[in-house]
Amino acid sequence: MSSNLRFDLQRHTLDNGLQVVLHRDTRLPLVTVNIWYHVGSKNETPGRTGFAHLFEHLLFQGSENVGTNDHFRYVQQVGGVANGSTWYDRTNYFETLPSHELDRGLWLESDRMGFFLGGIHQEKLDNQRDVVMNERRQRVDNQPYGRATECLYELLFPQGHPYRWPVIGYMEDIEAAELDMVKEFFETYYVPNNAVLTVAGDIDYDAALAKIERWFGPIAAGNPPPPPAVPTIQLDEVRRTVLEDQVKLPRVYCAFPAPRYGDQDWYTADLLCTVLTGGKASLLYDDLVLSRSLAQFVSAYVLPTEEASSFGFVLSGGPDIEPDALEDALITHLDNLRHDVLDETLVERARNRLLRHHYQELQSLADRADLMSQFATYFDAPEMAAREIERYREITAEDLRDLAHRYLDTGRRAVVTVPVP
Amino acid sequence: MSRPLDRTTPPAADPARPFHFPDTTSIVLGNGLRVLSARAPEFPLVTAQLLTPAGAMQNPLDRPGLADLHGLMLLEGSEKYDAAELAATVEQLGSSMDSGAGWNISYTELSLLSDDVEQGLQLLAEMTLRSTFPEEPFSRLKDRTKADLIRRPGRPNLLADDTFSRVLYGGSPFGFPIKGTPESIEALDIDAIKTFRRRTFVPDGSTLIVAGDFETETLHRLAEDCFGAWTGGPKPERPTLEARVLDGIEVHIADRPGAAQTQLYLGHGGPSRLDPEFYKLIALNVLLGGKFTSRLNLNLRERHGFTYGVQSSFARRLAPAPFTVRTAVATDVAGAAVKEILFEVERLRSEPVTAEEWDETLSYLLGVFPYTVQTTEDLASRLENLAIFDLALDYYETYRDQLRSITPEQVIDTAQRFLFPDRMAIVAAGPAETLAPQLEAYGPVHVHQA
Repeated sequence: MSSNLRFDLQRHTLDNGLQVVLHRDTRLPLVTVNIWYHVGSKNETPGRTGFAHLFEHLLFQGSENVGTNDHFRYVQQVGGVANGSTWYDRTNYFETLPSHELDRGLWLESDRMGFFLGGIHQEKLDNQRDVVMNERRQRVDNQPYGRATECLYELLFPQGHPYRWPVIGYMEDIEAAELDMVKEFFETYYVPNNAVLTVAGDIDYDAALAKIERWFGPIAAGNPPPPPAVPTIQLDEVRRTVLEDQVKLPRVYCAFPAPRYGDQDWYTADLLCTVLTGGKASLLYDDLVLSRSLAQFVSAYVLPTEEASSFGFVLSGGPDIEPDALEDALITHLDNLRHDVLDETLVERARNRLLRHHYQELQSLADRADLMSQFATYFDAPEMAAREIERYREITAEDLRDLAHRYLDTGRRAVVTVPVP
Repeated sequence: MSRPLDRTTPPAADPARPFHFPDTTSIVLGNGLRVLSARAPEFPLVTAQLLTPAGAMQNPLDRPGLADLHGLMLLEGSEKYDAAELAATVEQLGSSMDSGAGWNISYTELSLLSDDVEQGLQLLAEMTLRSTFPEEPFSRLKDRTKADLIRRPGRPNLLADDTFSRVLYGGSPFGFPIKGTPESIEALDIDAIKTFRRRTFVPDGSTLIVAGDFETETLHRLAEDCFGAWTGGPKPERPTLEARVLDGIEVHIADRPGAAQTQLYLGHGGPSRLDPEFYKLIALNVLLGGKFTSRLNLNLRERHGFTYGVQSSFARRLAPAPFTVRTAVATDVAGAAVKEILFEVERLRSEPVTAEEWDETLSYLLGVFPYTVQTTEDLASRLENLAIFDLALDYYETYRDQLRSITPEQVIDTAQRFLFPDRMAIVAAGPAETLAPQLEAYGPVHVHQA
C-alpha cells in the first residue's frame, strides 16, 4: 500500500526564523493561509489552564490595524472562511480565500503576529472570557459524559503533567484570566521563530514568497520559547473513578500510556485501533456491538501528541448492561491481543481503510495545508503529508501483538465508569 | 517590492480566476432511475449514493422512524451476504457504508477507492435491491435504535429540537425525530418495513449519484448492469405537511433541572425548498444567522458574550419546513438572549439593509462557493440537492447569477413575507425554575417534563 500522491512543495525560512511552506495546486481558484504556533495547553501551568485557547479567541479580536470584529469580516466579505483551534501542543489559525485575495490573508495573519498587543484591552478579554465559558458549558458541562475524558486524564497523567488538564481549561481558571497574562503569553510564544506558515493552493511560488517576505519579513524575531516540563507517565496499577452524571446508558473510558506521535509504535497502535473499532466488521464492534449486544458503540484511539499521551478506549453500553460487564469484555479482548496473532485479513482491511481516509483528508486544501504545517512543526518534514501513510505498510499481525504486549498491560490502566444513576 | 507597505486597510486583490462547477452528466435508465454524476479525478476516490423517494416524510403518522429503519436494514443482509459478510466485504475494500433516511429521501452510500468502483456499485445494488430483511438482525437493530433514542433527550440540542418539532408539527410526520421514538420503534415489525418498501423504494424518482474519479462511459454501463433490471411502481405521492401557525409567541420549556446551560430554539413554519423565492431566503439567512459575522452572532456572541455561537436557517424540505434560530446560552441570560434574537429578526423586517452590508453578504455567498465543492463528498451532496429538488443541471452556474440579482429592497420585502417574530415558538431546554420568570413576558409558558 502506498499513496499515489506527490505534492509539489517548497520550503523557506525568513531571516526572523519564520518557517514557510509553499504548496501549489491550481485545481480550484482558492488559497489557504495556515499558521501553526508551537504553543498549546501543554505550555500552561496549573491554575492557568485554558489560557492558550482563550488566547486563540483573543487573536480574532483585532490588532493595531484590524478592528475588533473585523478579522472575520475582512475574510468573509470576499468569500473566505477563517478559524483557529487549540490543541495540547499547538495553536493553529487558517483562512481559505479566493486565490486572488492572498495578500488579504497574509495582511491579517502578519498584523496579529506583529501588531497584536496594540489592539488588545480589558473589554475584549471580558467578552471572550464569557464566550469561552459558554463554549465550555456547551461542549463539556452541559453534555452527558462531558466530564469523562477530563476525569480519565486526571487519573492517567501525574500531577504537573501538561496533558493532565483539558485544552479548554477548568472554569475557574478561565474566569481568572487577566490582561497582563495576555501580554506575557504573546511575547513569549507568538514570535515568528516559533511558527510555521503554510500557503497552499492556486499560487505562483515566486510571487507568493515575495508577498510573504513583504508582510512577515519586518516582524522581529523573539527569544526561543522555553520548553514545557513533561514528567514521565508512571502508571503501576489500575486507577479508577466513578463519574456521576445524568446519563441514560452506561459508559466505560479506559486509557493506557501511549507511544509518542511519529514513533513507529504510534503507527502500529493507530493501525491496531482501526483493526479494533474501525467499521462494523472491526474486531470489537463485531463482537461487542453486533454479536453480543453488550455495547452501543466502541472506539479506540491513540492521541497524535508530541509527548507520549493516551491510548484510549470508549465503550457505550446498552440498556441494562453493567459497566463492569463492558469493562470485563474489553479487558478480555486486550489480554487476548497480547498473546494471539490476529488474522492478517483484519490487518489488511484496516490498512485499506486508512488509505482511503488518507486520500479523503487530503482533498480539502485547508486540511492539506494544516497537515503540512503539522509535519513541519513536529518533524521538520512537511512532505510527510503525502508520505505518512507509508508508515503503515510494513506492519504485520505479529507487530500488533507485540505492541499490545508492550502497551496494553491491563494491570496498569486508568478507568472511568459512568453508570446510569 | 518598491511600494511602501500600507497595513491600515485591506490590500488590493490580484485579478480573479474563474471557477466552474465540475461537468455534470445526467441520464435516465429505462426503469426511470436517474444517474447523476460529476467527475473530479484529482484524488483516487469515488462517493456513490442511491437516493430513493423513501424519505421520512413518507412515514405513516403512526410509524415514526419507519423510513430510517428501512434504510438501516439495507445493511443487515442480502441474498448473497449476511450482515457480517456484507460489512466485511465492503470494508475489505477500505470502503465505508452508510444508510438511512432524511426527511426528503432515503440514502445508501459507499465511499470508495476509485479502483473499486465496479465492485462498489455491484455491492450497492446487492444491498439495496436484494436485501432480505432477516428477522434476527432486525430485532437487534431495533434494540440498538431504541437505546440510541433513550439517550436523545439527554442532549440539550436534541431535546430542544424534538420539543420544537412537536410544538410546530404535532400530528404530522415532521413532529417526530427522523429516527422515531423508543415506543414507535418497538411497535415496528418486518411487515411494516416491507410494506413501506413496496410503496416508496422504486426506481421512478430515484437517483444514483456518483462523484469523483471515474470514467463516465464506464459508469453508465455499470449503472445499467447493476440497476437496470430494478423494477417497481410509480413514485410515491408527496404528503401535505403544514406547520401549525401560532396566534402569538408561545414559550415551551423542556425542563432540565440543574442544567449548566440553556439551549434555545426559536422559529416558526416556513416555505418548502421548492418555493421559487428560496434563493432569496438563503441569502437573507446568511445575513441574519448564516455566517460568523451574521447579525445574530455579532450581537449575541461578540457584543454580549451570551453564547459560543448562534445560527439560523430555513430547513430544506419538499414540504413547508421550519425557520429556526438555535443557540446555547448561559441560563441567567436566556431572557436577554431571546430579546436580542427577536430584535434582530424584527430589524430585518423593518430597517433597510445598507448596500454595503448586503454587498458583503452576497460577496461571501458567491466567493465561498468553490470552497464548498472541494471533496467528492461535497460534490455528492450538491448533486443530491439537484436530484431531490429537481434543479437544472446548470443550477450551480445560474444560481450565482440569481444571487447577484437580489437587491437590498428585496431583502426587507422578503423578510416581511417570510419572518414572523410575533408568532414564534420559543423553546428553551434548561432549568424551568430559572427560565420561566425570564420568558413569561413573551407569551404563555408551557413546561414539558422529560
